[in-house]
Amino acid sequence: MNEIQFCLLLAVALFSIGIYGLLTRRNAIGILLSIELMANAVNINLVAFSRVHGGAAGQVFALFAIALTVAEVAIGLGLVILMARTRKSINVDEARDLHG
Amino acid sequence: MNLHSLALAIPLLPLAAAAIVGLVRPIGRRGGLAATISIAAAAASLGCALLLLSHTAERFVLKLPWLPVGGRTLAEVGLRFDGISAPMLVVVGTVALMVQIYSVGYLSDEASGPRGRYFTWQSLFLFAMQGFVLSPNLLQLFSFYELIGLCSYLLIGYYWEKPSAGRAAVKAFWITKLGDVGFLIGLLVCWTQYKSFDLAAIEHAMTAGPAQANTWLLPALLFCGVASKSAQFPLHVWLPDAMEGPTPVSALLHAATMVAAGVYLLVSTSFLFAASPVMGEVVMYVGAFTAVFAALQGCVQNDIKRVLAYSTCSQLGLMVAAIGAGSVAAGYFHLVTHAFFKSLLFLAAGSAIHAVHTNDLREMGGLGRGMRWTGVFFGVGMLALAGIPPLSGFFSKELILASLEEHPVALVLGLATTIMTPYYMGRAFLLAFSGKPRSAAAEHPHESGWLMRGPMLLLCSLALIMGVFLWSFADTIHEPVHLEVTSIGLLGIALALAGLGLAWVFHGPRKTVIDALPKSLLEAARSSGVDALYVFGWRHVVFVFAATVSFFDRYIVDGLMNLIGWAGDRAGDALRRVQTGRAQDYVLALFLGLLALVAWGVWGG
Amino acid sequence: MSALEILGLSLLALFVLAGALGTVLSKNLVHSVLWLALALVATAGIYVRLTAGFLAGAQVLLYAGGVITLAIFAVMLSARIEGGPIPNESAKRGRGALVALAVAGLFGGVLLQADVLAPRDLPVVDAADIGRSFLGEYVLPFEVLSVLLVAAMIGAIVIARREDP
Repeated sequence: MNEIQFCLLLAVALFSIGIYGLLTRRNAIGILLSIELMANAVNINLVAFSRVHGGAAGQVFALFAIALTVAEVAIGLGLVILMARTRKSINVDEARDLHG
Repeated sequence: MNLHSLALAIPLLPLAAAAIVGLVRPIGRRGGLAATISIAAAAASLGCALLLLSHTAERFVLKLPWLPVGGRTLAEVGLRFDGISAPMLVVVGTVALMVQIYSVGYLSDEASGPRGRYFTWQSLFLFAMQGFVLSPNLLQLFSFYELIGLCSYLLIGYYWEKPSAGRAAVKAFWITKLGDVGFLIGLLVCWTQYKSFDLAAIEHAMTAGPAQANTWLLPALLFCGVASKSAQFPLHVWLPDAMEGPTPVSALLHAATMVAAGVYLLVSTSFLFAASPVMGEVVMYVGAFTAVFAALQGCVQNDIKRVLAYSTCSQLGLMVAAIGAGSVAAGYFHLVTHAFFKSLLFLAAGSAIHAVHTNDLREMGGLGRGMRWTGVFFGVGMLALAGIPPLSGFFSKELILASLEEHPVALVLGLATTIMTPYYMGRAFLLAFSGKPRSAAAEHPHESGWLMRGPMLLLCSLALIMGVFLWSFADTIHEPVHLEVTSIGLLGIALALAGLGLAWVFHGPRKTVIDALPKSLLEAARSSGVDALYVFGWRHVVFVFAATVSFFDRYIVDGLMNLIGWAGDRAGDALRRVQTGRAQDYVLALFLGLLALVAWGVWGG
Repeated sequence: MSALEILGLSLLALFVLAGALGTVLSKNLVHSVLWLALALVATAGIYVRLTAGFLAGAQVLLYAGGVITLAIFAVMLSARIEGGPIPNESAKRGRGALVALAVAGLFGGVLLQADVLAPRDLPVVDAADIGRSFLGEYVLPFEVLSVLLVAAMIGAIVIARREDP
């Protein structure tokens, strides 16, 4: 097992833990944090592959992904604040107005 | 003006009149103006027909292609002028003109609006009838046949505010349609057998082409149409009820022309019946039976118009029987003479009804004193119908009896009709015009004006002298006639006189007997068994069938639809629970899908 | 790869996984955020090991600095609005674990069987190279990204702002 394979396996583990959080957390902020973990796993992959491939592309895309994640977090946390203000709760189980 | 435009003018002038009176409201609202236009058109049309009558040596067919299909024409519209159509044109034109003039007097009490409507339908009817007579092919014949049926419906329902008139109109419409279904199927059969609707082409195909397998089929189907229009048993039930219409309408449509259309159809297609001996016999026996059956019914009616209606039925039966027996000339000539004397009888009856305001013979009596003209007209009509020489009816009746000579059963039926006809006509005449008045209205009847007497006078003279035209008529239609003094002919005269004598014995001026027959027998004869048959058929066959279909539609077809709807509804209700509204459940589905895709990519691809 | 290097990488990986597990398992939301910070910083260490020094710096600055701070703010704000500490429990754990393990098993299994290329002796990509890429080859996405960030900022303000100022 080489360094790259190790990093990819680490990313898989990180991603799976993110999925677990995403599916089990009741709190909207907790869900956002889990999504951060998953995004991080993706970035690790990008960097690891750029190590094999060479060139700046991998790192540039990782930077793009980080920027996008930050933007997403900003919007997501804004939504959490809005949810807290309108519903007096950030428990996602209570936000199910679109149920069938 | 050449002959072609003359022939074209015959149907188109009344059509133009109908369009003007029917579509231009100011004219339609003014009854007098409408009548003038309509009568002028009818007169001009008759003039054209009379001019053409002197050129019967020239036969011509005008055709326009219609319904072009793949390089050939499915049908044509056109005119056929020959010896067959020429006499009918004149008969229809004459009676129609006389009836229209008479109508002006008869309907003078009516409001203007209904009169405009009346003359619209009259002109439309004349167009339809003349178009029918001039039709060169079966498709066009059928179209005009239907138009005639429509006009009949509209005119019977002229007094539409009377429920009985509305019912009678609908009944007439449906019963005639019942037979026309046969005609329609006949058109299809005709096309499959001969690949043409043209009468001349069919006749040519029958003589020149290969022999057809089912020669009886087409005439049988056509006879359905004939039987319904010409009121042959068992499709005759609409004709007595059609008397709800105004009397001039009864005279024109339900005595002289419309009901004769069926007979004319038989004449036009007689070559088809000649080719199938079986159908010829069927036609003959149906006609002969109708003649006797309707004559029997005529003997027991108390409504003067119903007596005449059953008489019409009976006489049409004789015509049909004669044509079925193969003597086209006899049937056709009886059609012509009957048209004149029966319309005369109806108009005279209408004159009496106009005076006493009732149709009921029991409330008439003694009208002869106040209405000498009407009495004479009715009497002449009666004698002509009875077949007393030398009136017109004598000649045609003798021809018919002669044509039935070789068919004993039909001959006996015909002779029975010959004695019953004078009896019921004599009864009606004596009850209405002789004896003492039996109601207040009948005490001082007023003779009708000249507007009504004039047409009657002309028809009366035609009824008197029409017989002498027999030989020129035979020349025109190119059919031989043999009028000889035979034992049957003499028997016919004797029976006619005997019938009149019976009427005199039972219903003479000294007697006050209305019904000569025992009461129970009368009840049995009047209770129309055929009507009951139709009602039974309607209630127990059609209705049960309709109920079955309705059940099937409501519970099986609709049930299936409802089941599908219910299943969709339940499925939707079950599936909506999948939509929990929780974002995480959607994410779960997302990852399950991702897993499936990746697994497929790893192991499946 | 020397033993020391292996040890270092394993240690970093241990920190990353510990941070991640802490993030998704902690009962306290603030602790969760802090565990996330650990995981992110340890990830920066991984980046350093993968010769991506600039990216490691950006990771620390943007994530550990930006995102964590934002998250802490959000926790505190929503706690104030809700009035009291925010519960941070988990539910339906079996379901989540099952899916997570399935993903891990599938992807990990595939990775273990795969013949992954070893890192080659390539020239190190430094900040100057990344800067040239941004302003050269990727200038259009770069500028679009700045528009996106502005839009996100405005959007966040609009969403979170009080209805009645």
